[in-house]
Parts: sequence; structure tokens; C-alpha cells
Amino acid sequence: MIWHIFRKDLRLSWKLALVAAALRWIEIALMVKLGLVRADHAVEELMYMVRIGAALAACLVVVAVVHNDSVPGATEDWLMRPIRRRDMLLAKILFVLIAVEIPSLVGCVGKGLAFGLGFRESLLGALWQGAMMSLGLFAPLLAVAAMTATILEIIVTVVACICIAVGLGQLASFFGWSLDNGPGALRWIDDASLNAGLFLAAVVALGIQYRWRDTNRARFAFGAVFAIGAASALLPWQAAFALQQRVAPVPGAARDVRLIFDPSLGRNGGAFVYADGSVSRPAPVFLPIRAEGLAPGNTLVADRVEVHMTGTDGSIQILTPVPPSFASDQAWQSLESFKDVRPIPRNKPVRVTVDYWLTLVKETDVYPVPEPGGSIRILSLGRCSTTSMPFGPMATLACVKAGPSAGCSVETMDRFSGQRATACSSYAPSFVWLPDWDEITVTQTQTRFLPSAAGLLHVKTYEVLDHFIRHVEIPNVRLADWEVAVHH
Amino acid sequence: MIRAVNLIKRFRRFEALKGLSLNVPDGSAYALIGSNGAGKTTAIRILMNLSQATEGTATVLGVDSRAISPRELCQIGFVAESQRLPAGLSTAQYLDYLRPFYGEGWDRDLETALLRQMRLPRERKIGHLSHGMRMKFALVCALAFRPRLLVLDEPLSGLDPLIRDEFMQGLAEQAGETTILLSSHEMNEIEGLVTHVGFIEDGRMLFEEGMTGLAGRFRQVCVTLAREAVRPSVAPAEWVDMRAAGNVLTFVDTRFSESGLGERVRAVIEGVRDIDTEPMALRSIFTAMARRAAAATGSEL
Repeated sequence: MIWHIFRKDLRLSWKLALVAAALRWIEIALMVKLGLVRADHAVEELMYMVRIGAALAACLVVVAVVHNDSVPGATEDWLMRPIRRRDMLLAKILFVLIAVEIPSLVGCVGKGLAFGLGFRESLLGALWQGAMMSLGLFAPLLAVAAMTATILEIIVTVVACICIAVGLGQLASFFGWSLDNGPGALRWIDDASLNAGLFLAAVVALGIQYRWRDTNRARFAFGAVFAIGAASALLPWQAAFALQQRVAPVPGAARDVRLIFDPSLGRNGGAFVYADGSVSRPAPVFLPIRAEGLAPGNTLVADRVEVHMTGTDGSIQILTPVPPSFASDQAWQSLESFKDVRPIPRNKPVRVTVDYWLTLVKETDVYPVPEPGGSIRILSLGRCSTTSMPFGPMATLACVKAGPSAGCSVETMDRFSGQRATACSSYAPSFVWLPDWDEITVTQTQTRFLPSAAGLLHVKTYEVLDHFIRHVEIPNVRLADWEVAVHH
Repeated sequence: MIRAVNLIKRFRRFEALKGLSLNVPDGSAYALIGSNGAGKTTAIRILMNLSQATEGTATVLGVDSRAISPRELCQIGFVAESQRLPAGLSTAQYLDYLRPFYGEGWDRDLETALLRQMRLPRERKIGHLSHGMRMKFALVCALAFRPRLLVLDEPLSGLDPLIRDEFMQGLAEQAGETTILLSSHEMNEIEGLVTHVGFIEDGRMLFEEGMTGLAGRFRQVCVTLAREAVRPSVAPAEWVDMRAAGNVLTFVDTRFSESGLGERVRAVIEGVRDIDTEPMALRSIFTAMARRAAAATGSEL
């Protein structure tokens, strides 16, 4: 009877489903027209507007198909018919898969092909994206629709969920626990927990509603499970980092890594001179830091730094400066901090301790950046091509990849200076899913540079090994000795 | 066929049912009557497992009402005033949709005959039907599989007299051996159909009885006096809805017995010249009992 109910729903809701599919296809067509570089901002704006419309229409289809046979209340005709509620639920899921997911999947495959990906790769990427959308958005929406009878009730429920999530986030910020205050790229814990909470809440609520038709209990269970998921916002970042350490791909890989203050590296030089040759006053201070015990090909990403400075008079100043970029095994630790409230004593000796929250990454591949117009396939980034920007002197290397993004998509580009800007956009382990409307299907990565540099640049990709904390103790240092060196 | 024992239903602080018990015999046409808010719809929803009782138990077709499954629903036809049918489907499309759920039990000839008898269009969307036509269509959907039990919750509300006639005629002709439970205010229309009556007031069953016994037990008594009629200060409890007008005193005797009526009346009322008794219609019985219940609770009817 599942197929029979599905056909009835299709008869009732095909127009709305067609509108949702058309909007999705228009959105995808605009995305293809934009290309990887997305230089036409007018089209980009239009694409985002259509995307919102397509998302709303898809949500409306899900709600409408559930409300065709509303579960709460006592007035629906189907409740007095010999229809198994399990069949009804499966028919609704089938409808979402066929009438919402398949048109989107077709569009996503077309998008992948238009971007030069192979059919199999595009299909796998589209399937992944469809699965993520089903788990993270459509399943919760099915549950909310099954617990409500009107659009107004849906809006109230969604607003209530948003209020819970935002309220908990605000509470975390108030207490200084927010993951945003912690080492970078911890946000995935919050996102994954929220999404897992949503999905589990949906499973529980759908189970209660279609098994026992107990709307109050289903609503309570949905709210409770969702709130537990959303409560991850209250997780202090220190605890989140500890969790991240536990799920690191190679826990303990950084066991032998030590950080030391190494005056032999000399002063950092030249980077902070203005165009007229002047240097900002007071001149920036950089402490030379060296990493020992790094295996060949490994390097470090500093996620968070906390500096404690103790003056001779016993006064203590705590700074949270910007984490440094490690060039192979060395880095210059800036003491610039947005939260500075007192000038740093520069001519008196101070005791400095630096705490680092770090990620150990391993180089996996090196790829030359092609000249403008050329393309290259990079294992973790997908198909990459270099394009000259339509305005300005810059060129861009944009990559497109179907399927889930790498757990840590590290892009590193060697610059003329020899320094490297290593960054992880996310440390989410591969078993964690983060639903996204689009970017999971085609992951786009862009890096801008001067076209003339193309032949001199290369892309290195890394994989995460371990997350760890290190402590650097500098018993006696005069900061004026480590002001930036100026080379005119 | 249906048995309910001590049903209690609370909506937060409001108690809609206060220990309702009822028994619908196999093959009967049972009318659940009562004033607005008496608890009729709540009771029917509990019996049909559309709502859960706070306390008490009920069995329908021999199974606990909370465990009614598609197997029982194959044998239950249900029509309610507030029933929501899929507005976007035509009548024919909805019948096509329903048929497979009942398998061999669905009688296509009966369906065709009912559609013709009720003068229902096959291609019009349900959402475009008038309320009356929708109710008739709901009845077709409830009768076409020849249910063992037919439950009708206020099916005649808001219908014009012509539609009511068509509805009741269709029901009377096609119900056959079906046991019927219906709630309604329209006593005149249902009187010819029902065999049993349950009178519900303020969430309780005041009485339930076969129509034959009820018709014999209730009488409108009209006493003509030699002087101006005055309501006696003391009267038997079974005399209800007592009224005085001119030299005539009328009341409803709820325990009517032909023998000894004169003596009993004269023992209470002086100056009796004449006593007339008339059988009562269901509507009049309902009105008298509802007035008595309202007087007892101090509310207005």
C-alpha cells in the first residue's frame, strides 16, 4: 500500500513538487553559469535568492505531503481507514525521496558534469549530498510536520528550535565557553551535535507519532532530544578540544614534538614595513619559536595561543595573540592581541609562558599550479583550474570536488617569501556529517595570486594526524630585543 | 458490539467525561443524544481510538478500543461532521484510493448505487463539494464496504432538510444488518431509525434504553383543573418539566403506567377535572430531560 499512498500524494502535491524541482534546477543552472570563480556578483545574488526559494519550496513540499494525512487531531479521514501507520510513514518518506530528492540529485549530477567531473564521481557526490539533506533537514522537517497540523504550528516549532539553539549559544558566549573562543575549527563539534540531535529527535518523534499517535509525547521527546543536541553549545572549548584530541586520526603522533624559544632564529624581519618605509610604533614583537621532534614532511598548525607575561613587579598580563604560521619547524610568535589593555613593558625583563593548542599535519602531495587556463586534478581538492579574474591583476585557482570534503582540507601555497599559510577549514573527522545545501556536492576552493606567479607556485595538501597542547617557558626576556627587524 | 465502562476524559482541569458507561447491542441503531458539550463527540472519539481516555475502558468489536487495528477498521464505517477528506481529489479518485484498503470487502455495485442515490458527481473535487454533499459522500465512503459497525458523529449538523432526507434515506436503506452508533441533535430525523437511546449529560450517562421501553415509559400528561393551575410544591421525582398555564397543568411522566395514574395525580393535585396522556416523540423526551438536567445544575438550556 506504500506505493498506492505515494501515488495519491503525487496526485495531490505534484504541482508544488514541480515548482520546488524547477527552482532547484534554476539555482543549479545559475551556479553553472557562474562557474567556479563566481565573478558575476549580480548572477551570484540571483542564485542565492533562487536557492532560498528552492529550499523553502522543498520544505513546503515535505510539509504538504505529511499534512495530506495529518497525524495529530481526530478529524482526518485516514485515521478511520484500514491504513497501517507504518505504511503511511514509509509512503511519506518515499515521496520525499522521489519527488524532492531525485530531481535535486539529477540537477546535482548535471552540475558535476558541467564542472568537468566524471559521471560516477558526480553521482556519488550527489548521493552524498542527498543523504546529508535527508538526514539533516528533511527528516527533522518530516517529524515537525507529523507533530503539527498547520503551517503556523510549523513556524512556531521551527522558531522555538531556533530560539533554543541561539539561546544556548548566547548563554555559552556569556560564560565565555563558546567554541568560537577556543582553538580554531572546533565548530564542527557543535554543528555535528546539533545535527545529530535534530536527526535523533526526528527519529524518536516520528516513531512515537506513527506508532502511538501521541502528539504531546512526540513533541516533548523531540524538544528534549533536540535540546540535548543543541546543549553542545554549552560545551566549554577546553572540553571540546579534549574531545577533538580523542578522535584525532593518529592520537599520540605528536608525542615527541616539543616547542622551544630559540633566539638563534634571529628577529623576524621586514614584513611590517609600510610603503613609505616607516614601521608602526610600537614596533611589533615576535618571539622565535622552534618545533623539535617533527618527522620529515610533518608540520604544525597553531589553532590557539595564550601568552602569560609576568613582570618583575609581579604583575601578570594575559594575551591571546593571533596564532603564528609554522614554516616547516619554525614560527615567530606575535604578541599583538586585540584584548591588550595595557602597554607591554619592553625594556624590562619579563617572564613569558606561551600555551599552544596545535594540530600536527602530514604532507601528502605536492602539485604545481597551472598557468591561467590550465587545470589539474588534486586528490583531496578535486579538479582544479587556474583562471584570470575578469578585473584586477589576480588569477585564481579554483577546485571542484564531488562528495564530502576531506576531513581537513589543508591548502598550502608556497609564496615568494618561502613562508606558508597553512590553514584547516575544518577538523571534522570523516565519520562526522555536516549537512549543507550545496557545497558538499561540489566543494569549491579558491586561492588568488598574481598570474605571473603561477609557474612558481605549488599546492601542497596535508592530512591531520593529531591535536595536542604544548607549553613554552621563557624565564627572562626583554621584548625590545625582539621587535621586528626593518630592512628597507 | 460496543461496551464502555466508566470512561473519564480530562482536558487539563476540564473534565469532559465523568465516568461514562454505555452498551451498544449487536444489530442495534443506538443514538447518543445530549445537549451541546455533553460529551458525545469526546465519547465517540475515545471509542474509535481517535483520542485516549484518561481512565476507563472500552471495547469495540470485541477488542480494546486502544488497540483498534486495520483489521477492525475494515469493519467500521465512520462519518463525522468535522471529518477532513482530501480536498484536492475528485470523488472518483478518492473512491479509487480507498477501494484497495478494503480488498474484497468493497462492494462496487453498492458504491455505484449509493452515488446515484445520493446524486453525487463523480468528477468533482471534494473541496468543491458543498458541506451537505461532502457529508453524503462521506456516508458513501463509509457504507460501500458494508461495515459491521457504522459510527456517525453529528452527521446531520448544518444540512438542509432535503439533504437530511437523502442522507437518512440512504442510511436507512443501505445500513442493513449494520450496527449503528450515532450522535445527533436532529431527533425527528433519527427517531424512525434508532432502536436504542443513550442520554448523556455533563459527561455522564443519565440513562440508556431501548426505544420501545422509552416510548412506553415517557408520557406527556395534561391535567385540566377546575381552577387556576399552580405547580404543586411537592411532586414525584419522575414528573419533570412541569408547567402551568390557565387551568391546565402539564408535565412529563418518566415512569408512566396507565394503571393508577388518576389516583397518583389526584393525590398530589387538588381539583382535577380531566387527565389526558400522549405518547412523546424522542425530541420531546430529550427536551424534557435536558431541561431537568439544566435545572438540576442551575444552567440555562
